[in-house]
Amino acid sequence: MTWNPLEEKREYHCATSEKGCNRLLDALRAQGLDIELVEKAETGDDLLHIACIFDGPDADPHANRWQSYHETN
Amino acid sequence: MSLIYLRPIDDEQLWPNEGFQVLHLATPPAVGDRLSLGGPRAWDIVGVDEYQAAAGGDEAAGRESIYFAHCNLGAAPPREEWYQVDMCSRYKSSMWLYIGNGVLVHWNNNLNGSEPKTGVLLPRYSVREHKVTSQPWGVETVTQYLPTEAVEHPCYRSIWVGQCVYVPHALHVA
Repeated sequence: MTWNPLEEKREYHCATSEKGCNRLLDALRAQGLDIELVEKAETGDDLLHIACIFDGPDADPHANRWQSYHETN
Repeated sequence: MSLIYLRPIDDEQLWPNEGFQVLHLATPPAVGDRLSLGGPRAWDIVGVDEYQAAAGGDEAAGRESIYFAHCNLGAAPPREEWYQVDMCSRYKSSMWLYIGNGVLVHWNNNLNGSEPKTGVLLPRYSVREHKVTSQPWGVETVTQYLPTEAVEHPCYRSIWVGQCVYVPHALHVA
């Protein structure tokens, strides 16, 4: 049997909880983005164990939505 | 033998070594039972929902129902206030559980009414590299389970169970 990789083309950001995905959605929309939370998946990470997956007209899998302190100073 | 899916009402209460669980038990759990979610403390089962196979059931495993056990640390808030109940009322929420060699190897909570695919490798969402790779698990079959009428305020409109096979060789050609 041929196994195909599940190609992920949506935008995702990781959170510590499922409610964190809702907070991320609010933060993205506060930036004026037309975006929706469409799925949550486990990451296997001990801390950021939820991948919050977003889709919509403004979703971009390559977007760098949040810069770290070191990138801005 | 029944498949039992356990998760906390509030996953913000989880410790790093705790998580969602899948068990195979001779009899379904009951409200009042206590068990571990992977760490050194006991959670209380505060609710058990039965989900029945949508069409024919998992004939290979002889299973027509699965059970969703809600866990909490002590007494639970009213069901109408649960986060998952609220999400299910606002989204087309379904839980996809992927089982490999009898254990839970991956899960995702879909919110837009999509259905899981077969013939694909499970994804791994990297936290540090921000890229998606493949796990060495392939999805062979998927079975849909729907909440019985006795379930008031369901947390999911359906639960899909995907049976997976271990295919590490597939990663070399994927």
